[in-house]
Amino acid sequence: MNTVKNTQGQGTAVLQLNGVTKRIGSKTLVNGLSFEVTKGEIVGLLGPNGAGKTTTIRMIVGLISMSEGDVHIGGHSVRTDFERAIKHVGGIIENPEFYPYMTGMDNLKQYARMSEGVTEARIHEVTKLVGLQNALDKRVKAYSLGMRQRLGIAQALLHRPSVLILDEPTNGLDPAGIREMRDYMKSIAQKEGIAILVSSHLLSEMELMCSRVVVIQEGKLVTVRSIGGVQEQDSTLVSLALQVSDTELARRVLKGLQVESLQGIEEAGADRITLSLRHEDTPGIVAALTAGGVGIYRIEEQKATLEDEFLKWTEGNRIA
Amino acid sequence: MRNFGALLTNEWIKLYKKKSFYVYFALMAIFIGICGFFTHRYPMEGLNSALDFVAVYGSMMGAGQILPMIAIIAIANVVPSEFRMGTIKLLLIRAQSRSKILASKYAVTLLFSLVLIVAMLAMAFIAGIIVFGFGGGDAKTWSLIGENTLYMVVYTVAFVTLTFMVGVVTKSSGATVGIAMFCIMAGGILSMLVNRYAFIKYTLFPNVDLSVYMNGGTMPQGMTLPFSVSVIAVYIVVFLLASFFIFRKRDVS
Repeated sequence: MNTVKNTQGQGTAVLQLNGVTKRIGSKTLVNGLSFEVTKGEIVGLLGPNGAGKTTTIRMIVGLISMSEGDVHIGGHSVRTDFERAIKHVGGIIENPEFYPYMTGMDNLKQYARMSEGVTEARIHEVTKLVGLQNALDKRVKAYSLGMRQRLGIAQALLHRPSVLILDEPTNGLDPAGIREMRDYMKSIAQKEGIAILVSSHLLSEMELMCSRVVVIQEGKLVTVRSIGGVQEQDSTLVSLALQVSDTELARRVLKGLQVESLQGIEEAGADRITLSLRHEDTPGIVAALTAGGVGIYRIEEQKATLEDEFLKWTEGNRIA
Repeated sequence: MRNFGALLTNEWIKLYKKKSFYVYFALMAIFIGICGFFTHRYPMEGLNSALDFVAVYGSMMGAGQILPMIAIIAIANVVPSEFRMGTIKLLLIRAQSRSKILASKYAVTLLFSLVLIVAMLAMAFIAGIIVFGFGGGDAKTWSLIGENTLYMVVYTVAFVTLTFMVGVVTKSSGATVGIAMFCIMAGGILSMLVNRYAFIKYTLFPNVDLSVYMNGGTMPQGMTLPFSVSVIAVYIVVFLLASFFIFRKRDVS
């Protein structure tokens, strides 16, 4: 689980969940959830609708109380030392909501007053970072959703947090906005070493943004995966799909080969055959097939997307 | 403390940046204006100076009929609007305790009520000068105005605190205004029945208007000024305890 990639960050867990549980009546929404996020890391919280993502995030920031367990942020407990713990957190919880009758600047000033050491210069610095400097004097009700998202990021970064917590940050954004958001997140994590926990149901989005994903279902931890790591582990074997003239013949030719790494030969459709093998063995197979009289029209690599894996992890369960 | 001042500033800004902020004062001005007009048109005995005008219309029988309602409408939104707009989420994830945030909100509702009362007195004084010109009135009138203002403050603060609590509990500004108004109306009717049912004297309503004890006035069922003051104090404390308890525990989802 812990691949080479995040060993360097070990021991600097900025956000730590220990057996976090939320019960309402007899229903358990989140059940003994534990994971951690280290400095400069972007972690995705994944799960089908109703898995408890939002509840988990709201417990981390103290909007919802925990029934059991605790969350430590920068070493401080959210339960017993809330003010000092939350100081390290910047958050956007669902769509960022602001006071619509106030200007962007007035809204930011509200939050600046609530945190220590946020100067006027810092407000300008942050608004420049998100590219809102020209819209600050407009009332928020005149903002587009994209602009509100940016103002949301500005408000989250204002007090120089060490953890950013984003609940569905790309909700309602257009493709350009989503991409921009992703680029911000990556550069913030890299340059300032901020840890980011982001929940989303857009799997492809998470795949592009996160270095690790935590998958939960029905309030329980399913798996923690390092996204870069998954590909590294599988890099010895390549999955290929071949479009051939005769699948029957191709199968016979392949069966007769003495290639050790070759496995998982299956027919997929009328003229396709899939298999996995070591990268180096590919030319040999192609040559053997051609020699055996099988015409090859196409060779495609098959990459397992996060979506495929996600569905595998949460297989057989209802989608709420 | 600097901290709390910042929270208070925030809450005040949230109130006065709304366009409706001035509407409340305009309503008050219209009411005083109408009173001034009728005083000018139909002179009354014992009402013949600017200070007299303030003493009569600044009392519970004058502006007291409308000012508490305006205050209730104005501050009913203070807590519910944060929930309605969704801003409560961003408000509560700051390095401030929920108690402090709610305390700043309560403080600002009190501040608004006091500003409204002071503004009303100033308007009445100006209207009085317009009708009667300067001069007139004596030390007795001044102390009467002081006494009236005190009753007004107590009455308004009691209902504003009730409204505040309802706002915290219901999170809905419509319901809050409705329930608070209902309490004022029903409370008035209930107070009339205090003769028949003794338990009513332990409710807030017959006690909340202290001006009934003016000039040696009495109330049925052995109610006295100290009794009424104690009942009001107990209710205010209970309303506040309930508000803080609920607000601190509430899951925001």
